[in-house]
Amino acid sequence: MKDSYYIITGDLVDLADPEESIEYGPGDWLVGYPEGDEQAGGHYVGNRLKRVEGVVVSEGVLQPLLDEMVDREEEEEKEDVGDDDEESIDPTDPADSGMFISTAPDSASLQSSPDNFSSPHAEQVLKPILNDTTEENAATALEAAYRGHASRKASPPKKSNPKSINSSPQSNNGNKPFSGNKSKRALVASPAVAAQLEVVSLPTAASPATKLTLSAPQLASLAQVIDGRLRKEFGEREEALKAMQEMMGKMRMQLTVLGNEMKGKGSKGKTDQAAAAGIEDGGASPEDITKLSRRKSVQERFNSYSFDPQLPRVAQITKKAPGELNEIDVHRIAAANSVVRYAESRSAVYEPTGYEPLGDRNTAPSGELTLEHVHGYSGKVAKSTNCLYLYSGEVVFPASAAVVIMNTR
Amino acid sequence: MNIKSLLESVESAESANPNSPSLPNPSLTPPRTNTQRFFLEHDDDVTAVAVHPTLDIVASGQLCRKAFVLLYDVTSTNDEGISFINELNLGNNTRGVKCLDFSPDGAQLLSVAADPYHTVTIWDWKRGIKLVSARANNAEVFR
Repeated sequence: MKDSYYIITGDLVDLADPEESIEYGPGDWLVGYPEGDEQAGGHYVGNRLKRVEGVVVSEGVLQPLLDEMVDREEEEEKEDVGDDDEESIDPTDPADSGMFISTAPDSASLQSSPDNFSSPHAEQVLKPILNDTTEENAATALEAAYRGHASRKASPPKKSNPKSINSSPQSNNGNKPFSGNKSKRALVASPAVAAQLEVVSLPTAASPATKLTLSAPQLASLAQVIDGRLRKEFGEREEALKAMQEMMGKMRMQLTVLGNEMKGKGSKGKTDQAAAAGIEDGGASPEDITKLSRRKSVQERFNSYSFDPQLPRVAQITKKAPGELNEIDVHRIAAANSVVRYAESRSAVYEPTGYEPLGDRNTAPSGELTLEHVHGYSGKVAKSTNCLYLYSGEVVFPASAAVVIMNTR
Repeated sequence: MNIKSLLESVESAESANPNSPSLPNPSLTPPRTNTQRFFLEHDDDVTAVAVHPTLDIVASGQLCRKAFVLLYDVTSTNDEGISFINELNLGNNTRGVKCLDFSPDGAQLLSVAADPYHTVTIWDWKRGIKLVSARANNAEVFR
């Protein structure tokens, strides 16, 4: 659908639509889609393209444009009566498909090669009409464009039939008619116009192509009109954008200020709370609180305690007098007194029940053991000569920790 | 109640009873066969024994951190039994006595300690004097 753009037969309403958020400039491509194309969103103005290819203009918009163009030319004629049109108006090359609002067209190269079209579609549409340079044809084409330029059902522009154009229903939306305006006719009838026809048309599958032929000065003036409108809108938009940027900057500043204030309030609130708590506790200042919160050393804490030497030890306190003790208490006290503690044992050791201390009976039992006979001798431990005869004929040999003197006779 | 008291009680009983045979005098009667006497002054394993060449004197050494040699008279005719003569201390960390022997004349005693150097010492055992001492090697001693 991008190929089916209109040239000048587009819709400028989109440009004037305040809700349209597309930013476009003089160097952008403006590509339009035919009406009723809901998928493409109706008229569309492309942005961020190289240059202006064309503007989609609807019938109700193109009409006042043309009127404005005519009025402007009339004013120019009044101002510069003797001047030629060629001086003030640049001849836009028809091969340049962005002829209307293009900001940087290479006019010289385009003039030298008028058959150089930017797009095949433009070539297809423009070339046959450019070749048809007869004054009559041009005049009729322009007239038809003026009267029924926007009628999608009109016949193709190549073989423009005045009858068919005239017979086509007038689609002007109540604007002032062109027929009675002499200046327009003069424009149309100017001989120089026929030589440089500009085609504004679009053949699409949905709607047949319509043509709008304009002379070079007409096109230039029309381009100036559109350019002026665009510039005006651009200026407005730029102003609005600047205003919005300023507003955004202010909002940002306010937000940052608010954030800083919030941060400061957070820290401030804590300190205020602490100070308030200190005042509530004992009227102490924050410095005193910090002093109190300082951790004391062990020696300081120990020195802060004071013990009365006259106080009885808790372990020595007996809740009952000796006469008031019952059997359980007696047993408990006895068990507590029977505790034996050893250095090797963590737990307390209690003497067995029924244990009686030895007292004076702690002596060995009466009786002795006597060694009568040793059967054997230590030959492994005593590895040296370990069996000897005495002079008396007795045998001496060691046995464990004893030395045996044995009489073998 | 020890043996002496037991013997006394037995003697008193025998003396009380004239029919019972009187005990023979040990100095006059020959020793009974396979009778043993014991020298029980050691407190650990006895590892070396030596006998005097001419007298009934026995030297015996034992295992100990500070090894020592005991000399005693085992004359069977002694009424008091075994009589202790002398003690020879080999020294610290000697661990034991590997070997003991008297000199041929019986005047000196030679001892080999169980320390790593197997220190050899010659004693005048009567007086308990260390005459000479020297380190040997660390090879094992079997005699």
